[in-house]
Amino acid sequence: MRSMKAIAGRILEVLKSYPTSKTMPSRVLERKLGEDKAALAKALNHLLQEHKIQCYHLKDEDGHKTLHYKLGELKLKHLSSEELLVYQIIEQSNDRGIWTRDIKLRSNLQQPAIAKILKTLESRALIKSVKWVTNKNRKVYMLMEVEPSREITGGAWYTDNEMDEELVHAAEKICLKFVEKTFKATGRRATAGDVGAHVRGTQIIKTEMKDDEIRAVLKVLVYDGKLDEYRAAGAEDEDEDGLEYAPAICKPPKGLPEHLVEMLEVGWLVRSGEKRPESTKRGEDGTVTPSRLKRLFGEEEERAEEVGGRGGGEERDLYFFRGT
Amino acid sequence: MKYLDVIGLQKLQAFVRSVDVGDYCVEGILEAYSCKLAGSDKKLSRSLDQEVAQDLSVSPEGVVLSASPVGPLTEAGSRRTLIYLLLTMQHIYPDYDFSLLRAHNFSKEKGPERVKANVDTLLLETTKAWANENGGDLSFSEQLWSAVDKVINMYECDIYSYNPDESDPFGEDGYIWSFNYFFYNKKMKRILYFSCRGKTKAYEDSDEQLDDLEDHEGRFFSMDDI
Repeated sequence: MRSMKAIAGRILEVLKSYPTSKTMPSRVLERKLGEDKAALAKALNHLLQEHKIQCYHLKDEDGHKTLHYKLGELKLKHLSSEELLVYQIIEQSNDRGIWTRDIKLRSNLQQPAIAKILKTLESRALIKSVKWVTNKNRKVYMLMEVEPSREITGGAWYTDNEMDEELVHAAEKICLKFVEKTFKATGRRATAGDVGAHVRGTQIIKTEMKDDEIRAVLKVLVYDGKLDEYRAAGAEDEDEDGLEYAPAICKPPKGLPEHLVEMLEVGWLVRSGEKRPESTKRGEDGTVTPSRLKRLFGEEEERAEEVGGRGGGEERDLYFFRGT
Repeated sequence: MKYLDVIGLQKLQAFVRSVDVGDYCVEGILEAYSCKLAGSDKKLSRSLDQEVAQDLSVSPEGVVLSASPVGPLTEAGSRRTLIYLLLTMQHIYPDYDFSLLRAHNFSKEKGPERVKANVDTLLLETTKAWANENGGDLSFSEQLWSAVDKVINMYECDIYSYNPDESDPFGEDGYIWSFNYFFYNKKMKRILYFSCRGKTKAYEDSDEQLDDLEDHEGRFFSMDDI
């Protein structure tokens, strides 16, 4: 039988060979070392006391909770077992952080103990407190070196926990203009990626805008009725990248009498903030014909006709764009 | 803020901590504090004082900040009141960080009569529970207010109330109503805090939520919920 020191040395070697971010389940360790269980346990305890290794109680791939081991970190030296426990609980919360009340529930420690431990860990620069934009008053902690996820800081839309409304409006304007320009110039729809690249390229917006945030802006424009969302040909149903955007096409309701269609579109224009077109006079018989539409909106209507076409028969579906 | 263990409040304190009134539970806090700034309090108090003074200096002329519930913020006394209210909350709810609160998060009550009426109404069921447990000639309400008066001289106090929103203890899952009052006696340099929350029994805290951290996502509001 090897000496405890020798076994301890072998344990450290085995753990060193493992990637630093992973923890080794105890049975893997046992298998690799092939030592007598009692001797192994003794060596492990010795190393734990010296803080040369750390012990975790984690769920395995098969869902059972077992002991895992990892090389100890120097910065965690001289922490009491309770302090280490709290540190590990906070570590497991990753970039979302954990609320102090949940730390209490998980660790089963009381408030005065927790308060002291958190103070110690903070003074040793091991943890930091962060604020969730959606819940500003809770005390949330995470490890010092972890970057808070964009979800809890609000990402580009929040500066110092306050929503930056101007930024949202500016972003909406830029995205909308780009989609419309692209469509007018090339007849093609824009993807979120295209819009994102453009926004980042123009550098009008100083804050970094990730694709997800651009997608959010485009969704807002869709809900506001300014853009329409399409699925690209051949794109999978769940594929986020398979969505394309184009200026919204409005269809007047089927039952609407034709002489009211013109008033409807004027209303739409007014609502979208555009000026009323100069030639909104009625035709001789009060109807709105494609040629009239052409005069009202110019070349946009030619395109509209190519894109939307006309329904056959008595019900003439008139398609036109809702201004820019 | 120094917690005062007042003998006259002990029985009421223990009782209101948790009262089962049938459909719901009442969880109450009845605590007295002395306006003495402890070590950590002093730091917070100083930084708050500075922040408020800064806010005042950069605000445009003519903005009537003197309309704050705690009094004109240009006066140190008002700022001190705000700080005492804040620190009391920090002490009572250690899981929360109220350092972002300002005067507009509080309201000033017109007087003890309104407060008494409101509390007595909300604690009607609680009064019955007290009578069941303790019998006697004095009702819960009478005992409560006489004890409070002894500790803090209600009629000499400025009474304040915190305006709750979702992100504080009053907005936690399962709580259907709440009240909170700060009885601040400037002369005695004391604050008595009385607050109750009604928790519906229909809400069950499931322990499984704690096993997997992923489930914690249910506890926080996500961006999609806004």
